[in-house]
Amino acid sequence: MQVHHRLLERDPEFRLRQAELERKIHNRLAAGTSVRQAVTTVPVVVHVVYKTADEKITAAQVKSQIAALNKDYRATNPDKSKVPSVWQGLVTDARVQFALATRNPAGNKTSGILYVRTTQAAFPDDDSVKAPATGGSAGWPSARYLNVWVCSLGDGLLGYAQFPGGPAKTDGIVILNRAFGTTGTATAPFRLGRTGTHEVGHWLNLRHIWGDTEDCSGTDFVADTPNAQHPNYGKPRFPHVSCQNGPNGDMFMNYMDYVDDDAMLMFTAQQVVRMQASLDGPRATIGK
Amino acid sequence: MAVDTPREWLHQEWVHSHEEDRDDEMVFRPASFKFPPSRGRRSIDLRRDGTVGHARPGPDDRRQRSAGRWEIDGHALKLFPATGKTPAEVYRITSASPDRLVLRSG
Repeated sequence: MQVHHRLLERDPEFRLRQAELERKIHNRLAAGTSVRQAVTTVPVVVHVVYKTADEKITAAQVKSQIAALNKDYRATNPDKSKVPSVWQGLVTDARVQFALATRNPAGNKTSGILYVRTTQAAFPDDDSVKAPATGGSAGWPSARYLNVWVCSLGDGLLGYAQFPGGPAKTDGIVILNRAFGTTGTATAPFRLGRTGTHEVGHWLNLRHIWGDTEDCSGTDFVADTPNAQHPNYGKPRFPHVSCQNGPNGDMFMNYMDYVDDDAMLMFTAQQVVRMQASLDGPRATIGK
Repeated sequence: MAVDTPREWLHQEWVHSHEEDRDDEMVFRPASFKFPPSRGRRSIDLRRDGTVGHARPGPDDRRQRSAGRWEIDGHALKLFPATGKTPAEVYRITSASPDRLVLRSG
């Protein structure tokens, strides 16, 4: 986030683009329509940046992450049945699916998976994994691809993202290798690919359901997720009440909270409007 | 414990060990503690000069840093913004030792 703030300060254009996007989303929410009605397929390139053999995750592990994203973003995840009955009606198909890229930027065939050796034992949350000069891998053009970097991260971090409208060179998401996919080195309680689901949510402009403040004053700019005070962790018991949001409390089973993989289960209708607005706006060239 | 006079070991970076929280009590451990991976952790760096460094998960999951001041008042830990005399957060210290700090809201 320090980087996010730094960008807002250093790159006035980023601030303007974010403000413009919020204005468009506001209009979209008022109108209740999206330009894209069909399902968007997002071409994905996965940069596996590794030092040790363990970090060089298999193609099967990468594909398991893509499969997890497809279930979650089409609301075909079987565990959505665990959503409390009061919110079952809000579980919404995001109309987005994902496929490993089949052509590279030059138009040649590709598996969509790049293996890049590094001397870095772990990367901080400063975008260094996204540039060869700092031991990482250069992103493919963000107008066409979702860049996903998979590596070891410092400070126990599971992943981080970049919102729409930021610099093209660093656009994409970063995920810890042991929290990526549903097989191989993926480790419980982060073995269902939901770190990917959460980070792609940010890439499509979703905010955390607690609004990124700890005093109930923040917002996620989404009307159908109750205001919440803090991130929830682990596997909370329903209901968990904060910010006078009783009797149902925090929607901690939303993909944009901080719970374990097996406790996050859904996007809401208004979150889908926000994501689709980003596909109509700053990500309009994706999947076209 | 009473902490009218902050002990030397209190002056360090404390990281939220949310896996150990109970009810309304938050458990903090020194930064050197072996934490499992997490989507994000809050930390408070209680410095000897009275300043505090905060780190919280930000909107894009990177750590977001800010600074302020801190003081101990009886059993209360008061965290102030960088400017202003009203504490932004007040916690009751329910237990404290060199490797574990437990705070309760209010």
